Amino acid sequence: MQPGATELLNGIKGIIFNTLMPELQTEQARQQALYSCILLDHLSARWEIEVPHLQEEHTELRALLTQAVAVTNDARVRDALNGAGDAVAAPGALAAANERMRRLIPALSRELPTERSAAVLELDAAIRAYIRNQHRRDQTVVQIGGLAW
Amino acid sequence: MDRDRVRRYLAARLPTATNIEISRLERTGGGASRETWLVDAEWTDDGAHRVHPLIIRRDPTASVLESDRRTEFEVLRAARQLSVPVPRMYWLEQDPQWLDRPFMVMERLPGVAPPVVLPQTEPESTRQTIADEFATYLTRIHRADWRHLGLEFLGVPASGEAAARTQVEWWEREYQRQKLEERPVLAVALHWLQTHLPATPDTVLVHADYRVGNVLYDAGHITAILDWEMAHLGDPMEDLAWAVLPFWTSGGLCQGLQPHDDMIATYERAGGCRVDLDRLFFYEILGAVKMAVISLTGVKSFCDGRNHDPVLALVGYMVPRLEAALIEQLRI
Repeated sequence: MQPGATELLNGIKGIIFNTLMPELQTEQARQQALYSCILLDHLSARWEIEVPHLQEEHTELRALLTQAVAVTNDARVRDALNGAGDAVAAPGALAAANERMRRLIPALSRELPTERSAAVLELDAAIRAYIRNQHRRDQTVVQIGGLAW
Repeated sequence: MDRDRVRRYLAARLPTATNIEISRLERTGGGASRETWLVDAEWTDDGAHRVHPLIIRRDPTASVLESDRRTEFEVLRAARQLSVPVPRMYWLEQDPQWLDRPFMVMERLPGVAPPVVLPQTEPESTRQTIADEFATYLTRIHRADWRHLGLEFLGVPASGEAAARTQVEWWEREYQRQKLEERPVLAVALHWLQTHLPATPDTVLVHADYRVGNVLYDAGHITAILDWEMAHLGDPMEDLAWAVLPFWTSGGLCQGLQPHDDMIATYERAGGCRVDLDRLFFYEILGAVKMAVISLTGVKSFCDGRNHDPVLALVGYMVPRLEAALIEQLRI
């Protein structure tokens, strides 16, 4: 059996904290070692939620952009949807696909049709809901492990 | 950075001094934008041997702010004339031969810097005195005759919306330059700022990072106002909004000093510019965006491998907290 990512990260943290830190001579160096341990602690906890968050965002963005195409017939949005792949891609590919779709959100929000039909109002509400949900996911990430912002 | 290199630099700058020694050279944990080094230097001049407490602020390899060191140096020099406590500036050194990167040398004033806000353990009398001084010094900065001080080089905004537009455009550019990923909350907030630019009736000297974390205090009084690297000419509401940001609020007290409305009232009572709540709100939104972008700048320099200080990675974790305030204030 091999150590998993979490065990490895915890092991590295233990080496820094127990072996290296007592040897450090300056306050600045000790502080940097301590912050590095906090980051490792965070990374170890984040390992578990990273992919589910990416998948959740991917599904939400696809639904939002599909709704946007129906309302705006925007070619940029259609192209992004066509190249979005699916939510079971590898984490790196999923993150890149999400980023491509996410980049369209500010423009979609700014360029909503001035005619306030029910479809436009629903799209506006869906954009805001996505922004809040994405923020909630970000908040979750920064509140785990050794971080308490 | 080592004692011998600092000693050689001082010897070059102080040709009449003899017996130069560096008895202390220590990097402090603060100063995320520039490295801050505490120095005790001794030398003999005019027959007297004295210890000179100094600060060296050296450019990092990369930081949370990529600001102009000359601006900070010149503004601090000018601010000595304002009856606000600022250190005496000695030298601005651009030649990397001395300490590898550009740096400035200044007087070290007594006092300690609170980590973020004034600690709750301070007595109420200290809290009140520092709150009054905090407002009074801000008033003096805003009432400064910046033309007389020779600060036009900071860029004089045209009248009307120009001051607000300049700041929004600056932070928009920085956001585009520093972001590692699209952040919809910040993008929406920037768009709101672009479409709600207020006109500025009074162009004043703006410190632009005026908060308790950037002052020193000692024996219940403010002894130094530091970190002028973002100073510019603009709207006085910008400084006031920055000071009352929820981010620096603890236990309902802005900066650990006073509730939001009391801090504004204290500023006005101290002789500050008339407070316009709509402009104040605009600059509170700008302040949250600015703080988020500063954090992203640190994260990017860490991720690009230009600076390995883990603090720069950690500051990125503040961004969702700032965005939470924006979601609430702008009803996203």
